[in-house]
Amino acid sequence: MLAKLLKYEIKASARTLIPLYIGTLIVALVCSIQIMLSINSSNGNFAMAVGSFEANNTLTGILFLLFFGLCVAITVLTIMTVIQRFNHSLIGDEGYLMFTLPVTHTQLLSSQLIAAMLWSIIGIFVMFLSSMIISFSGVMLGWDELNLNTINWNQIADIIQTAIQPMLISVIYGFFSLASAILLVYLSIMIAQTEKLNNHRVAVAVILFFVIGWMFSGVESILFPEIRNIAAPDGFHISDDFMWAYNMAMACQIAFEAVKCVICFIGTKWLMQNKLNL
Amino acid sequence: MTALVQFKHVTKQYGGKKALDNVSFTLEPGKIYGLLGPNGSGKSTAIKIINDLLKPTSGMVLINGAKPGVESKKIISYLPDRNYLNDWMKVEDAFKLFEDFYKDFDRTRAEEMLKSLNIASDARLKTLSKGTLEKVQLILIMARRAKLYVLDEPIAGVDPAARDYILQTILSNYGEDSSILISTHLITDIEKVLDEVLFLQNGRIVLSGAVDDIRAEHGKSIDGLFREVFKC
Repeated sequence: MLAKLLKYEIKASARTLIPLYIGTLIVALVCSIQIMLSINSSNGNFAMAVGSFEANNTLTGILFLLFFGLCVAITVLTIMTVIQRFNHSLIGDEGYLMFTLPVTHTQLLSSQLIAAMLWSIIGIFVMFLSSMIISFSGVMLGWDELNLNTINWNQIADIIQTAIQPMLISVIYGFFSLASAILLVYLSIMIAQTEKLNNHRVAVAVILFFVIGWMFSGVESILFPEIRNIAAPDGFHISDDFMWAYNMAMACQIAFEAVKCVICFIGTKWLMQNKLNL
Repeated sequence: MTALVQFKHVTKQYGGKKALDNVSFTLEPGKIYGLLGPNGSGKSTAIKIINDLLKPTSGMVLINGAKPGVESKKIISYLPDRNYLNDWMKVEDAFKLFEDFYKDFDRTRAEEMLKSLNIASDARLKTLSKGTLEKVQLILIMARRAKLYVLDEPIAGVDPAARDYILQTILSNYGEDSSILISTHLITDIEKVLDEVLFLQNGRIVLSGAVDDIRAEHGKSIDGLFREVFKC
């Protein structure tokens, strides 16, 4: 049933977000092509190419503005879609259907969360990919001068090897932070829709989001010095133990985000079961 | 035989106001019940409790012998008094959704009803009129082989010509072991199909029983009695 719920949830948001993602990638590609054409017209000379952008290529400027505008649109629209889908499908008129389907409240909430996570991750990936497409034209700019023999591949391999673990931990932390932020939005909306607060639903939800977030931060700031002490009793500095200290601190942060997720999930589910006010 | 719905001393309070006040009733299989009462009498609250959209403040509700939950939702087919379908859908998407979630959804039956009402299956829901949208929702609900159909104002938004067809659809599509609970203000249109009625006023049941008995006892139609009981 969760897979079925997820299918309809993704379909409902796809109509807004997919065209935006495709549009951003196309604009990034056009920007990249435009830069390469400018480079070609200036015979690969960087100064001439830059001059060419400034003097002749108003189009390039417009395309860049459009690209950044689309990146902002992706961020804003993804956030709006996450909030709107939860609002419409669970506490709006669609709630009359969703809450009378033979599914559990856990499945309903999980489908919302997974879809929101999925769209957020796709949005971040599309922005990353678009930046890569534009950067590609920069690589092309210096391609002729690049001597692959001068690159110290062993050094690059060492850097990657050293960076991969903290990067992986950062990605896991980002994943839990995203989940806890989305669940905090859900919890705030669910509290705001209860009978006593219902008259100022939106304002109350926004205030609650910041108040509960602030409370979590308060607890975190009390706990964090302790976490830091456990991880690095002598304070953070680059040393042999730095990676261990970093990993420990990040592990504690991940655990804290996971606890926030559990609290917000259970709270939202309880409100759905007992204080739903359709 | 287990009663389909049992309300035992159910009270639902919103702040200081009691929407339902110590209400008890039973719905048996194979009957059509009318839930009648003016605005604010507690009809929608009772319907939401049956559908597990609200929890009672006190008292007990049993659906087919168990508390409302996933199992009760499998046997109740609920038509709310509003559009609850997402407007990106086409009619066929809505059919697919019901097919996915309800094992008792009869697609052939739904398509037959759609055809007889001249509604295109590839029509987008947001392009349909309010009345047509209500018909689509009614088709979805009545195409299920449910044990209990709960219909909240099923004919309020459609023209009088379509009302008879809809009532006919309701009557011809529910099984002998199924029951229907209809909440409505349009009693004249619906009176002829009702077996029993529950009159709600200020969250309390003020009159209930078999339609024929009530007519005989009071010497009035249900509509006439409603106007007398709920006179402003």
